[in-house]
Amino acid sequence: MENQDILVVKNLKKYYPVRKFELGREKSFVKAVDDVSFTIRRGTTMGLVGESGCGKTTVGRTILRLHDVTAGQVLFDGQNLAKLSTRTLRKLRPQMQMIFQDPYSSLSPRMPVGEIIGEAVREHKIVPKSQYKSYIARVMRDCGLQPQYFHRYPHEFSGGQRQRICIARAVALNPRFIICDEPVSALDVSIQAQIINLMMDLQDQFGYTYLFISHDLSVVEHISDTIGVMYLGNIVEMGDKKSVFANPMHPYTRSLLSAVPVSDPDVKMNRIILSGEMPSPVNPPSGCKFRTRCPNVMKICAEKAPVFKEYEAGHSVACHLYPQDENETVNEPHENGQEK
Amino acid sequence: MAKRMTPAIARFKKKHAGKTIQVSTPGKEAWRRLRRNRTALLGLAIILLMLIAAIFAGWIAPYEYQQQIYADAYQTPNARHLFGTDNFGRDLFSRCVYGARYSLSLGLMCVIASFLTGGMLGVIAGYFGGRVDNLIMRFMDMFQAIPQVMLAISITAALGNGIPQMITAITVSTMPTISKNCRAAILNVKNADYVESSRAIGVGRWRMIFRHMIPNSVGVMVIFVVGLMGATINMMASLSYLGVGLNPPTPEWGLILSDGKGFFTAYPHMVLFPSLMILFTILAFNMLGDGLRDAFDPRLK
Repeated sequence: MENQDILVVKNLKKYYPVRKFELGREKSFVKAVDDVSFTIRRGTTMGLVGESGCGKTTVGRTILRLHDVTAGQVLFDGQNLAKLSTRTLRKLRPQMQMIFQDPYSSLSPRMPVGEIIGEAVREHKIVPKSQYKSYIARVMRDCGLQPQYFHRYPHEFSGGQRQRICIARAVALNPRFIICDEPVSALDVSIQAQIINLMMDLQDQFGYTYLFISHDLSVVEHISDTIGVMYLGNIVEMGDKKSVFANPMHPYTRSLLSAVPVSDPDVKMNRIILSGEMPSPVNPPSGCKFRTRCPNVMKICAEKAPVFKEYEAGHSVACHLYPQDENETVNEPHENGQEK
Repeated sequence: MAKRMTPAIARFKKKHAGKTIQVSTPGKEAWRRLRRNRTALLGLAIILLMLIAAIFAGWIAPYEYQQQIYADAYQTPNARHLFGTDNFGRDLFSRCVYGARYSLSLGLMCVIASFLTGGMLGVIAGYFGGRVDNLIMRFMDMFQAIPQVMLAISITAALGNGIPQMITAITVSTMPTISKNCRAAILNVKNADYVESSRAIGVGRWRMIFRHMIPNSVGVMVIFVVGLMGATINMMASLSYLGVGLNPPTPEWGLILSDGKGFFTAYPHMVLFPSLMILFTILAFNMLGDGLRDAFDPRLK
């Protein structure tokens, strides 16, 4: 039976130990991802936004088990990736792919392009040997690369073309799910549009599911169906694109949206400017993690972590500005998760 | 996203139809830069000269290396004996030419052996990290605690003189340095994005090491190999000089030097020529090594 949800992430945590040369002391951790849950429907795109250092990249890498999971579940088509052995995981790898942020460093400088794209195709025996060349050529053409570049090396390409190579490498494996980790932030704007459109065309054609990680809200608005907003290792607001953009509920989302530049100079922007820096993820603030910078901070924010709760259909927020559940027992596990 | 061919592109294509595209690889780029470095080229030339001497020693050398012509003993350099002769009347030029054969081939063998052992251990330590890394590195520390020459001498003392024994001694004593260098080179590329991305496409462990990590640290390794060649030749000469390397009458440079040292005051040429051979060879390898470093990483300069 086909499950509607291709990826279900439940209470994902990723802590990196901070090395301290103090014997007998308690170890401290960088809580890069602290209790993140979300679901992606088949064939849709989820945008994950947040400022740098909020853990969005780590979410992507832990989902693919490029980094090990500290706690929580990652259900890919019902299989918990967090628990799979390396061997089984490798067999599953072709189904979920990743496009990296920097097209300059993510291509091995000592391999010709055809080899970069085709390496894993051969490794996982995606197509029979006799069709290998024509298959790679087709993938390259699909991604807007000329097949005669097969023997060229990455340094001969521009940023946009390199990102096309990265996309071709991912797409060549016939994946169902692709994590795009800021795939366009290293490119200039005109190229960004080309790459985004390429990705959307490929989605239409092959039905990929994307997790699109970015800090650029206008890009995310263009490509996503749902949006998750992350702050300091937590998702603070999540919902349908329209709902989030039309009615941002969390103060952090509001301030992010207010920062998106508008192309009309006559429109007056009402920017909500946040003060201060993001607190250290080693020692996050008590209660609501955003309270140190929140324009609407209240007394309760320091005492209790807000519950992540659905207020509109498919639109959830974690903030004390909105009525919290009376039923305290439901909140308990969530709170404990944050304190640990 | 299909690209429309503009007239300009069409014209370009027509003009260049059938021509092969020049592929520029990182290796070619490095060679291009190396060619402009005169010191490195000089080093390369000396090495090539030594190599020719080594390969064609039988044709170049006018005498056999062990041939003793008593009538010609103690001759200073002259037309018949370019480098003079030693106390047994052996032609020093012939001996030095044959010496190149020993020094280069043994040096190369030592370098290969230490790469296969120490280098591989270092790569494994760097790639797997954690406990494996700790185990291998502490083992190497143990060896490194003993001075290199001392370690080599003790090994030959235990195993005796001879070619395989000397290769073993040098390999073991250079293992710690080489493994640490290889480990560092691997650690350098381990967290590179392209390694991460090939992990994401499910490239296997060994393929990752041999196709992604080692090729990408080959620059560092080539430099290291060349440097190590010089150091190994030096070490061989030292061991032979100390009498714990090869047995006479092998025309090893260190051994020739050792044979001549008793006559140093009266016949300095017996010491001078083998020394010069050692000096130029090591110098050449170092010059080439430096040049390679600059060629592979132009940012260093």
